[in-house]
Amino acid sequence: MTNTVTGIKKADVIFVTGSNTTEAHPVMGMYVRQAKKAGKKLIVADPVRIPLAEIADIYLQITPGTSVALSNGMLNVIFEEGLEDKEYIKEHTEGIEELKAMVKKYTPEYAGKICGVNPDDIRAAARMYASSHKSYIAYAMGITQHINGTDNVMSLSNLALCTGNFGREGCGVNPLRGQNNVQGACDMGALPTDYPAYQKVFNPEVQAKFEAAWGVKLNPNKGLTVTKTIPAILEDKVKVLYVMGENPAVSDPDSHHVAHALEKAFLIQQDIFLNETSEYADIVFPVKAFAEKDGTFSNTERRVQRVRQLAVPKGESKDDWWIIMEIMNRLGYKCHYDKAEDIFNELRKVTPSYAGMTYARLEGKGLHWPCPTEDHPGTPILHTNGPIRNKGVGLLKAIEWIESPERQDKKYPFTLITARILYHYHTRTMTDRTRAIHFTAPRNWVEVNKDDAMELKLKDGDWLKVTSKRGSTEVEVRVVDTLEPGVMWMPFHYADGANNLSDAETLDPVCSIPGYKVIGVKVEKVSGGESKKLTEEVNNEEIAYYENEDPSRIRYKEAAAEKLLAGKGE
Amino acid sequence: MKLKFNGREYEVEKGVRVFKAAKDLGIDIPNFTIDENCHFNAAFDEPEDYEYSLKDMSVVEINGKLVRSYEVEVEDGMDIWTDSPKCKERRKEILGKVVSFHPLDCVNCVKLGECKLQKYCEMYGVKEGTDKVSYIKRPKDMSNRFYFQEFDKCIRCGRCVKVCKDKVGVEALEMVQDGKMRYVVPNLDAKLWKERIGKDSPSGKEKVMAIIDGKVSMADSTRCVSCGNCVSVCPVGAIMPKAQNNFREWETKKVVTTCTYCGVGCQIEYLVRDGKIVDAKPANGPSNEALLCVKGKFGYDFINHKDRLKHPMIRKNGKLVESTWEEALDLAASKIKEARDNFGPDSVAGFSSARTINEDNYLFQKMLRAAVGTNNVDHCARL
Repeated sequence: MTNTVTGIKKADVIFVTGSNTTEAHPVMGMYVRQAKKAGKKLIVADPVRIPLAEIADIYLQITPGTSVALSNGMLNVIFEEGLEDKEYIKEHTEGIEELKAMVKKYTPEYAGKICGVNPDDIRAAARMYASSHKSYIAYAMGITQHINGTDNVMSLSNLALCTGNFGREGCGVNPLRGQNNVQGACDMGALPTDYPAYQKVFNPEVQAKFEAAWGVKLNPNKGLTVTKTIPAILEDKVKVLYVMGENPAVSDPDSHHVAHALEKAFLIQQDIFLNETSEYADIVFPVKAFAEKDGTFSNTERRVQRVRQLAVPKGESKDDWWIIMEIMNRLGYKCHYDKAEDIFNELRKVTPSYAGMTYARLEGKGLHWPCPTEDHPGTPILHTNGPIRNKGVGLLKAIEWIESPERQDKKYPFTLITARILYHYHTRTMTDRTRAIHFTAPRNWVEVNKDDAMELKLKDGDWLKVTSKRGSTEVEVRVVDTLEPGVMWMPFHYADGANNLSDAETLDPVCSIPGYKVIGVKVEKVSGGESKKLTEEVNNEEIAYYENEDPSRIRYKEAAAEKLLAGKGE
Repeated sequence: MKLKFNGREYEVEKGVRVFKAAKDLGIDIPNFTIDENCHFNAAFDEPEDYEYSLKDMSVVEINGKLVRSYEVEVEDGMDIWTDSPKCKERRKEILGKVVSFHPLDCVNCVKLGECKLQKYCEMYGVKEGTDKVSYIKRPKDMSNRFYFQEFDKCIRCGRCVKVCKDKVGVEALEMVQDGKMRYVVPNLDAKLWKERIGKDSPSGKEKVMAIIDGKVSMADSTRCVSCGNCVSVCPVGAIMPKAQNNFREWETKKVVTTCTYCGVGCQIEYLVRDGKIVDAKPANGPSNEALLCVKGKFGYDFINHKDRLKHPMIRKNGKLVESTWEEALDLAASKIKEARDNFGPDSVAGFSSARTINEDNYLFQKMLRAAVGTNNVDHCARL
């Protein structure tokens, strides 16, 4: 994020797009609601009528995969009506002429047709967004998980640059990162092209620096992304796969494809539980959970915060880093660390943005990177002196909207969106073990627009076979009015669910992200009864749990009895 | 600026309310309505003529006059007494009223030791109610999966309603009044009330009666997101987590750490007993401002789950079997070595993790780059 989490409350205008904030980042969602109550303006653009849409000043129910067209349409209005920040554009950007020429054809009418929204709503959104220098864009995977995900992000950046919405409190372009330490994993160089702090592996100077620091010759060739590793295993190029704290069997696109690859490679796994991926593992190392270890996480606003050990580790489980250290030594690379802090102190030396941080300094409120020296206060807001890139000049990129091929195949007439729900987290290995969460969302479902449902003769609890070019899954139906006709929605948490359907081959050309948010599917009603049976099973399981296993069963029974008595009027 | 608390001189900042200034100095002024982090004060939502007002709990004596400490700002040279006989008298009066309708079954209450009402009653020697109050008794509401409500213990401080309305912003609870008493009830849509009891806008009493009759419950609230912030702010045992880990607050150690779920980076204060987490509360972190969501508040059961891996395992004859650390580490290293030496370093690949700490991620990529010699390292950022 260019700005802070709580900075959203300082904004005058909040533009939420491709983020179901109240479900996926609930506390951030609370801030949006607080801001709205305080009289701030809210624009929401999302194919799903998310809870925030209900309180939005302007809600644009765009067709899945049309974010670029929406941004271009808004820019068209901004330029037509002279709402841009001419001074900021002149001083801090390049490429304005190309951008202006390109968005000319994206009149609100043209963009509205692509996005499936009223042209006047695009005009209103553009005016509202451009009305302030405190306009805060918050987006998440609804923007990035497209085959043109990079374009989507760039087009939002165009909006912010042209209105001068960078470098101050309450504005910026703010990706809400989904995992506790996805920011940190990227910062630490868990990327095929980057050493820590985004220093490129193919840059000879950087290579020399790391060779000196680590005392070995390093490889200058770009490595494989997760999505490219799977095919590389199938092509016999990769023989050994080491998976630390992930569950690719469920989280990666095109599950069948992934299963073959995991089966084929020698698979080393490191985790707190056995999961779907373990079925293919050759070695499994048990590790400590976050509550049992010391360390640091970097949150979505680049704030590095302490993780503290508070619980006793289970069995023989070890720190992840201890296992890695042991393997490094066995591979002939000698190293030794006594505690996580030792590693932090080493990584500071090669990670300029973390150089000024120490565990002692992270006590309390943590520090935002970049924090280059030990007397630096950290950097909550980026780009304060103009964009960091190229001496304060941000790049405006003229980007045409392209349609996902998933929407063009008439044999798969519905568009399926996948997303996270409030109660579950990713592949559910953690959340499903809280019984109350399990009972709240025990199995997969698909949401179907009510008109489509009528046409397909579907009602709540019916059973639907959803098929894409890759595979199929059978799920329970929920009929909703939050989707446009032709669009369906499914959570991505469940094995044998959404990722049976997604495509692992057509990826974003720049960052290889899969198009999880636009999947072409066809559907077919399958024999009923099954979902009813499943519902009953879960209900019985829940009742049995509260009767026999739940530690608060005495209270529960007491309450049930009181309720019964109340029913009898005693 | 300089002022006096209880006869001692202190230096304080300008523009702060007396309550906050005292709190920052470590002087605890009794109150029920202000949350621990001073993010909100539910007293402002009390009706002015309300019989059981808790507003005056936080009175202090300044120049012989009682004033509410959260209403006045500090002034230079102020002479503030937080526990003078007059203050005590006023507080005893309020406590006496509250205790008249709060069940004094403290020996059977899980909140024992943490309860503010109990604390103040003990402090001021209040043993029984002073007032004969008639109010509607209600059964417990067990309908939410994550927490239960035992509103007979409710002292009407309004914190839960306030946090739900102003901080979470969903307004799943509301405070209704009947006669002298107020009641917390689920805030339901007019349509639902109509459906259940045939009235669009029932009176406070009708709402409470509908709950007693089992016609509505917390489970009917489509607004509730089970974030449990109402549980966290309740000063007594009226809203409690369902997970009963049979602990008492004084048996626990409290440790603040960063939440392990989404990227917001909320700070959680875990209550730990004998090395096990027994409860979670929001800490006042910079990105969560003492709020949590359902996963942060209630989703910690996985840590002590019986399925946790406890030994290294190796696949033998198609099955994963327990092994020693030596055996597993040696095998892993030899397989990596074998691939590296026979097929080149790029025949090894690793998926690091966005779930684990920076230190693990750093060492993981260093292992692949420095010890194996490949850049084949990535993680689930794109997924």
